Amino acid sequence: MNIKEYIESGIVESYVLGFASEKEKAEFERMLKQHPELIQVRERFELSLEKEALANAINPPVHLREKILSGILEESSKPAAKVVTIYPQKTTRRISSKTWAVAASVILLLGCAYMVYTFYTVNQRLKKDIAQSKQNLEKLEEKKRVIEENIVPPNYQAKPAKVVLPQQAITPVFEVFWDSTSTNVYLIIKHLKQLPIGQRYELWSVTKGKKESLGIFDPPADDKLIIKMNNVQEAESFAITILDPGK
Amino acid sequence: MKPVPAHTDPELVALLKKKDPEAFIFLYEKYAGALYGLIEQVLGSTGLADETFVEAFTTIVRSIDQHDSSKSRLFTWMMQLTREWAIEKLKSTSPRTYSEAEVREPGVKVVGGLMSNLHIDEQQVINLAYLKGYSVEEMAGKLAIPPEVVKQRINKALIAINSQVKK
Repeated sequence: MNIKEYIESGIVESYVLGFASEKEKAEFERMLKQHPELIQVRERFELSLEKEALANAINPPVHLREKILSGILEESSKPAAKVVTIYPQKTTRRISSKTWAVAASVILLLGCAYMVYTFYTVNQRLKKDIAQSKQNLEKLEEKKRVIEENIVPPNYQAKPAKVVLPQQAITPVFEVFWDSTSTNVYLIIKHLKQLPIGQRYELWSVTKGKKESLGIFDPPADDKLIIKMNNVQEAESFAITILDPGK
Repeated sequence: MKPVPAHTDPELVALLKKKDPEAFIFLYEKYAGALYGLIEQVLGSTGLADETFVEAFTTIVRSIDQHDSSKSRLFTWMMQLTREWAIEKLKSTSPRTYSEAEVREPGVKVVGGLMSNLHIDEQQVINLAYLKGYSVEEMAGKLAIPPEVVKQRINKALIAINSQVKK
């Protein structure tokens, strides 16, 4: 086949349009080097094809221009990287990369699920811990409240008050603390004997011969040794009597 | 739009390889419509034309170093890359159904002016091969004719186009 026949076989069009097989392409490219006139024929068809394509151009949506050009300009301002053209889904390798992507996605999904589960259980445990801590704190607050109610404040300026023994039966095994500023009165019991049913103790303050009741109390059955009594403005001494409604 | 400076093919290729921003813009202004028109004909009914156009044009710019001007003009290479990209997209996303309408479409617009003197059967095989990427065997199956006949039609069509260009 001479060059004229070769050209008229339609190989030029086949090559330019992209129909030629790899073998035909290689042959055509070899022929191009050997026959410069073939280059002219090829370029003539390329130009006529280009002219047709430009005549039938359809303007892409305007927003794509900005998208494409900004992407390209940004990319081109970075250091050059070697780019290899990969067509979508062209080869088995492409399919295999898709499979890899799916596999990676599944692994990622499982990883996420595990993390969600872990976070969930940790979260539940922390919630439980917080509830437990809250409960403990409430218990402690309650204990603190009871103690505060009953304890002598640390800056307590009270003096041990003079105590008048009510009866011989009662041994001096208690102390009264009275804070003349806050007027709080605390009774600290070391030992008071249990009374028959119906009988109770009563604490008195004594001022200029006048008695004032600071409250009725039972000797502690538990270890509650400090009792806050009613406040009193003035007191010279304190006294405890046994109250016996039967008498 | 401001008038873009004219470049010869080798000048433009040289500037693109140097990543000249003006050259990218020139390339877009001059050829975006032609490439989009081609993609529209391949993928028009699928709604994939826009994304394919973005991908193809970006790929063209990124792969500019692969263009060999001893083998083709810049636009030919761009068109081949775009066509292959669009056809692969078509193959990967739509079932290869074969409709009568697809076969009887009027001549391919992109090469339409070159196909005006082709027989309808020849236009058909060029359409199917160029725009849908069908192989000879696929066309033979779908048109219910022997592969040899398909090859003959393609060949006759290419020769007719060749003689058309010469005029």
